[in-house]
Parts: sequence; C-alpha cells; structure tokens
Amino acid sequence: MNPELARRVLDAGLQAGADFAEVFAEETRFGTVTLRDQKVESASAGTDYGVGVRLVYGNEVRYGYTSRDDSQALLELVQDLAESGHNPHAGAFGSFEHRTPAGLHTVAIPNASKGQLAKLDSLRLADEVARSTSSDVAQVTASALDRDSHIALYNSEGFSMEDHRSWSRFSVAVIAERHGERHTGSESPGERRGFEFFENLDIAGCSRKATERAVRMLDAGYVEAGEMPVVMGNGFGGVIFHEACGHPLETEALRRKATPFAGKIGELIAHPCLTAIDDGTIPHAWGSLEYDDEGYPTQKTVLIENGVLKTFLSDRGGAAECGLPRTGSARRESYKYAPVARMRNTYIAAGQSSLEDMLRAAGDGLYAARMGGGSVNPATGEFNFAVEEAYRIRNGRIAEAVRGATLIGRGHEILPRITMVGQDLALSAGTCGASSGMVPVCVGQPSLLVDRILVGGRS
Amino acid sequence: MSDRMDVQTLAPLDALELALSRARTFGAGQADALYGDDESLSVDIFEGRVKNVEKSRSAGLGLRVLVDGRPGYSFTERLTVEAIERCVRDAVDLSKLTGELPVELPYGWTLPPEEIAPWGDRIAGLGVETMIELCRAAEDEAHSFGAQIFNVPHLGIGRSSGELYLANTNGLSLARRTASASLGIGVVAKEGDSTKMGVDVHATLDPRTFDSRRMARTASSRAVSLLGAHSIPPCEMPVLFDEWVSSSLLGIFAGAFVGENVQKGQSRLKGRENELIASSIFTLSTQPRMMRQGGSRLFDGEGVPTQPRALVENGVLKGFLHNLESSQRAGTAPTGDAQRGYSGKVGAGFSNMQVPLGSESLEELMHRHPRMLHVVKLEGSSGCNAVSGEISIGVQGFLIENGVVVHPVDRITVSGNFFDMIQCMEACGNLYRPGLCSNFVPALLVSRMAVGG
Repeated sequence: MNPELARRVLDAGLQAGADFAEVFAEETRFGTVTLRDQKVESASAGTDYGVGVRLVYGNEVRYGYTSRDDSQALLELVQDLAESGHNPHAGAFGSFEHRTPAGLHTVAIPNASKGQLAKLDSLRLADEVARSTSSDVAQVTASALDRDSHIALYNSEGFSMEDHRSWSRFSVAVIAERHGERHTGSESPGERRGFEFFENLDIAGCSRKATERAVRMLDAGYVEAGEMPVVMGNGFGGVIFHEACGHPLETEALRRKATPFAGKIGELIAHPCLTAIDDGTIPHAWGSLEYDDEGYPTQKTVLIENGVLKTFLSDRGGAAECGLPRTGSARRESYKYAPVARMRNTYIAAGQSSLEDMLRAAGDGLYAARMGGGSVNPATGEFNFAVEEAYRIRNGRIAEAVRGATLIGRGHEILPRITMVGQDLALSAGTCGASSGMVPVCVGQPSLLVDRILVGGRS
Repeated sequence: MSDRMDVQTLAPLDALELALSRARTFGAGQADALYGDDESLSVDIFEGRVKNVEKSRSAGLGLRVLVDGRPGYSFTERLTVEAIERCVRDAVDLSKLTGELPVELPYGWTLPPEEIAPWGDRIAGLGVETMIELCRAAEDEAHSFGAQIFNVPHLGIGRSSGELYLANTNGLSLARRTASASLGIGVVAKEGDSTKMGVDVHATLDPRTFDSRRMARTASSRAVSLLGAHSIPPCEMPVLFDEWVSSSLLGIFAGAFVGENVQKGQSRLKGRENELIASSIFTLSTQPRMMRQGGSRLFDGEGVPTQPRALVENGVLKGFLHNLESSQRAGTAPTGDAQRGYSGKVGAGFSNMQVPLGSESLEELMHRHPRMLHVVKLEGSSGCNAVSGEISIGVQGFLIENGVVVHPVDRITVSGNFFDMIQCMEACGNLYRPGLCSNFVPALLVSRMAVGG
C-alpha cells in the first residue's frame, strides 16, 4: 500500500472535521478442501480484497469500505462518510511511525508454497482412522482450511502498521449410527501457523477422539431435567464463560449499558477460586495477535482475579468512552467491518482441585464432558447451551452417558456458583461472531464444578 | 493502492467474459461465473445519538469451472485482469482434486419483463436523515412505553442494493437487481430481579412501510410480558409455536428438504417421496415468484428459471429442493432452487418458505386444549440436528390454561423430534408475522411435546 495515498485519505478525513481517521487495507487468500466419505466434496480458493476507511467524530463512528483502491474511490468514500458542520482539523503528523510485528507467530512453511493438494493426505488419514476405530461410523467429513492475510493500517495519530497473519485449521466430524440412532462427534483444532500445523498435528488422535465420543453417545438415554450440580469438562467447556461472561465484559456492551457487570469493577462478582484471563499474546494460539486491528499492541488482560472484576476488554473508542485502559482488543473479520473490542484467547485460569474431588463434591449431578454450541443474550445474561457429551454423576462417580442435556442460566448468577476449579487447563479453537464479524478466538478452562445449574432435558 | 491503468477494476460484463474465455483456454469444457456488486448504508442509534454509520461498495466474482467434468471453485474481490487470471488458474487447479459432476449448464434464455422487480428507487431514497428520524422515534416510543423499560441497546436501520450478473459458456447471460431495507430494535425491560429483552425486526422491499414507533411498542411489550417468568416442572403437553418463532423453527430443519442432503444420506426423508410424512394439515412450499418479497427471483444461482413448488402437500412429501447436480442425480428436470453467492459453492434452498394460513386465530388455538405452552422466543438451535431431527431447544413463552395466560415461562427446553413433530401438527394460525419478507409461516400447534426445565 502506498503511504502517500493513505496520507491523502487521512488528510481528507481530518479536513472534513473528523477527530480521528484510519485506513485499513487487506488482501486475504483462503483455501479449503473438504473430504466426505473418501471423496473430495469441495475444494475452493479465493481472494478478499478491499480498503476500509474510518472517521470518528467524538463517540460516533463512520465506517465505509470499497473493493476499489484508486484515489478517486477512496476520496469519494471519505466525502460520503464526512459529517457536515464540523471545522477542519489540520494534519498533525510528519512521517508515519511504523510498527512492525516482532514475529511471535512466525510461519515455518507458507500454505501457499504447498497448494491445496498437499492437504489431502491428512484428510484421508482422518477418514481411515475413524472407520478403523468403530464399525458404527456412518459418515466422516474432514476439512483443512488456510487463511493468509496481509494488512496495512494507517491512522491520523501518525501510526502505520503492516502485518502478515496466517491461520490453519483442521476439522473432523464423525457420524456414528446404530439401530437408526445417530450421533456426531467432532474436533477442530487450529493455530496461527502455516502448513507445518497440518504436518505436526496428531490427526489420528483427533479423529479417534471424535469417533469414540460419537459412538459412546449412541447408547445414551435421555437426561432427566432439573437443577443439579454440574462438573464441566476442560477446553471447549470455556465456551459458556466466553458467551455469558466474556461478551458482557467487552466495552461494546458497557457503552450500550447492556451488561450486568456495569459499575462492578473492584467488586466480588465470582467465587474467590475463579480467575479469568483474555490473552492475545500466546505464541501461535488461534486467537492471538501482535498488534490489534487498530495497530495497538495486544496484551494479556486479567478480567477477574480471585473473584474480583478487574477490567473490561477495550478498543480505542471503548477505552475513551468508558474511562478504562486500552487493552489492544480491537478486532474485525475483514476490511468490511469497523473494529470493536473483542475477545482473543479467553480462559478460566487453572486452580487446585482434581476431577475426582469435584465429582465427589457434586455427589449426584451431571458431568458435561464436552459442550456443544449455544446462545446467549449479553444484555440479560441469559444463556442456553447444548452438551455434546454428558454423563450422570452418581455417588461421586461418572455413571451412564446421557443425551439431550442443555445448560440454562444467567452468566452473572453462575459465576458465584463455580466453587471448585481444576488443574487441567486446556484451550480450544473457535470462531466468534459479533458486530465486527467472525473472528478466530480460543475458549478455555480447566474442569470445574458449578454447585447448581438448571439442566434442560426430557421429562 | 494504485492509480495505474493496468490494474484497473473491470466492469461486470468484461470481468465475466474474461473469466469465461480464460477458463476455456485453460481447458474447462464448461464454466459459469457470478458477479455481485453491492452497495449498503446503515445507521445505529443509542440514547438519541448516532453511534455508527456504515457505507460500503464492494464487488466480487465467483467462478466454477468444469474440466473433464470435474468442478473447481474460486473467487476474487480483486477485479483486475491479473487477479481474474489467478482466480481461473486456482479453479482449474482445484478441479484436479474433485470427482466428476454430471451437469449440463443451461443455455441462454430471455427473462420475462420483471414483474417481481424491487422498488430500487424507494430503497435508494432512504437517506441517513430519514433513518435517524425513524430510529429516534422508535427510541422515544420505547422509553415512553413504561417505567419497566430500562434500555434500548440495539437500534439500527440499513438498506442495501446491488446488481448480480450470471453468465456461462453456453451463452447464458442474466442479470437482476436487488434492493431491501431493514429496521431492528432490541428493548430491555427490568423489574426486580427479572431482566428480559424484546426484539422486533422488519425487512422490506418498501421502506415507506416502516412504522418504527409501532415496532418499538411491539418490542417493549414483548419484553415486559416476559418479566417475572419462571420455569415449570417437566411434563408433556401441547405446544403452540407463535408466528414469531415458527419460521425459525422450520428453518432449522430446512436442510432435510434439500436434494443434495438426501442423496448424501443426511436426511431422514430419503426414499419417502409420495408418502405421508406429516399431518394432513401441513403443506410446505417454496414460492420464488411472489411479488416483491425478499426471496423472490426469476432465475436461480445457476441460471435455471425458478418455479413455485410444494415440497409437502397435505402431509405428503412431493419432492426436494434441487440444484443442477442433485436434480441430475435424482433423475428429475431442473427445479431452479440453486442458491449461490460469489464466494461459495452452489447449494439449494427455499426462496420464500411458505406454509398456508389456517382459519383459527391465536386465541382460538389457545382454547383447543385445557393446558398448553405458548412459545414466543427460541434460544439458539444448537440442541437441534437437521439430520436426525432431534429438537432440544431453550424457549420462553407462557403457560396457558383454558385459553388464559397463567404466567410467563423461561428456563425450559422443548424437546422431541422434528419428524414426529410434523406428524403431530394439529392446526395453523391465521396470520403471518409481519416484516419477515422471505418467510411465511403461521403459528403452529403441535399436539404433544416434552417440556423440561
């Protein structure tokens, strides 16, 4: 990207009275191959390309984008976005102060150097392993995705930043079937790496795990509904914290007064055994960054420490409007979105308890070994999550598998009821959707005990 | 970024012609390409002030090549000669990975005069000032609804319009315009410990029909009506899905009617054509030629003429939604249900989903049983599986006894199986939810489902 053109665009924004102006240019290459039942079901590649321009007047954001990158199109866009009735600001910076990432997530083998054909072996392996693990396997779908993004950012505070970001992800979904009953098990790890991610991944292990889970749940009966203690499994179990507590801890929610945590900084909002962190700096983690999508250095942010609320996740505007420190959390799916504060790798920190202790403390309840998807309304905190792999806990031990369980509650009401936290912290890759689009994030937690939660099921 | 001539963005028809001619040069026997060019404008309001304004203009080209009958897909948002050539090479390379696809792309035909065309001028006439006025009026109305209204965290309006061009190597060249607007409001009501959100969203092809004050009242009363909700003990009972949620519920299982899923063993409806699969009161159709509705179109994503068609008629399964590939495999004539964006594969789906209206009002339906659950809100679909038909879904609504609301209900799940549920469909309501311009499904009364909580 040409810095001179960027400067002209930023100058035009300031001339139009904006307090802040920013240009974000992106070119992203995607490639996906999906194998279903030994056949390539789809193979596609593509290029996203465009430029986003943001003008900020006070707390008001005006954002536009275009897939044309000539000066005429960009200057027209600035005129369209400009708000009338403001006095022009003079351009205040000399040359751009350039920020270059230090290389925390360096790629060893660029995916582009390998091509889509190279992914086929890992996909075939996933299929073979699933089928040799159980004769109940009815269908195996495996896919490999890579995304390679070049971004350039310039703003009217005189900063520029260029970053080259790569993501690779492998997914396997296995459908097991017996006597007309079907169940799906899936695994989808991902990292900020190139092709070496596929080479180093334990594909057979992933596929076996997904298959075993699908098969185990085939014999399960339906869970009975009611309030009970629940031990939640590690890793993807963190999705509930992400949805029901993480989103309400973004300044975007605070700005709209749509969070039960407003005005609670410094207060005890969770059991003292609970510490929660959002960390953008973990090397190669799926949700990691170096600079955020406003060009600000990302960081490790402690959200809740020993039960006490410490801060919210913020971007430039959120920090200013809410009077909070900036956490380097501004994110966007692509040039088609204005950035807002979003989660990166969010997890509940490891505690002291063992799984056995927690099962014993639960006595009679539910072991939600792996969560499925769910929904949450951040403004009310209400959440509802399906459990993909669940067992009854009887007499402090894991008993029979059960299906059809959903966990229902409100985030801020559940936090004080998480009374034991395990040692087995694990992170799990996912994709989070919100106002600035779909972004890669990790969720995570150790196993933990929720004293009491409503389990929806079949009577 | 550059001002150089040789990297200039190509016009739609030039870009399509280049992609198709290069595809032939690189060995594609057939190819089709889609060019989408979209413009949008949206405004977000919070506490009387403009929070965000967004404006966009973007375009992209999606290509499918068939080399020795094998498909390869690619797309590009960079529309220079060089980028389009790379896009063609990508698609040709990817075709080497795939199996043969037995399709013959359609030959050129001429569109009838556009009797279902959108009101492009009415959409374009919706300016920022009008948008802000509509939103402010809605916010005022919500706050004056009553002391229980605590906040209006979501309030936004937008319009988008675009042009879509589709061409193939068999001489097909079609185009259509799209234009629509939408207005959405989310209101939070609070009383004691209870916090509830009510939402109203209208999508329309005619922004003159927006009544934002009325929408604010609807969202507010929906939030307030659920305050003080609590759970009920697990039981089986009749469940009345309000017209606010019935189309979402059917939408979760729409995949069961897609031919490709049926052929891949991903639908329990496989092999059941002409059998009774649902209650005889249940008819379900795709209606792509409705006048000025969101899902209306004269040609599908592969250039096949669309046609209105019943998939289930009086409980009998009549057919599936097909694209060229699945209709060929099924041995039926093309049905024109292909759906496709420039960055994706060709799928198939409903273009305006419709269940005919019944004769009874919601109140009359509530009197059909001494006790029932009236569901007005669904909470996510992750406990539902379109393949197995499994339903386990969090809901909110009202416990009804003898036609009268006993109390609002939350923290419960409704569970069962979709394919059993449509057998137990007892009656349909006599109204569609306003403002859903591509879904026409009335309230649905199901005689028995498991309610747990």
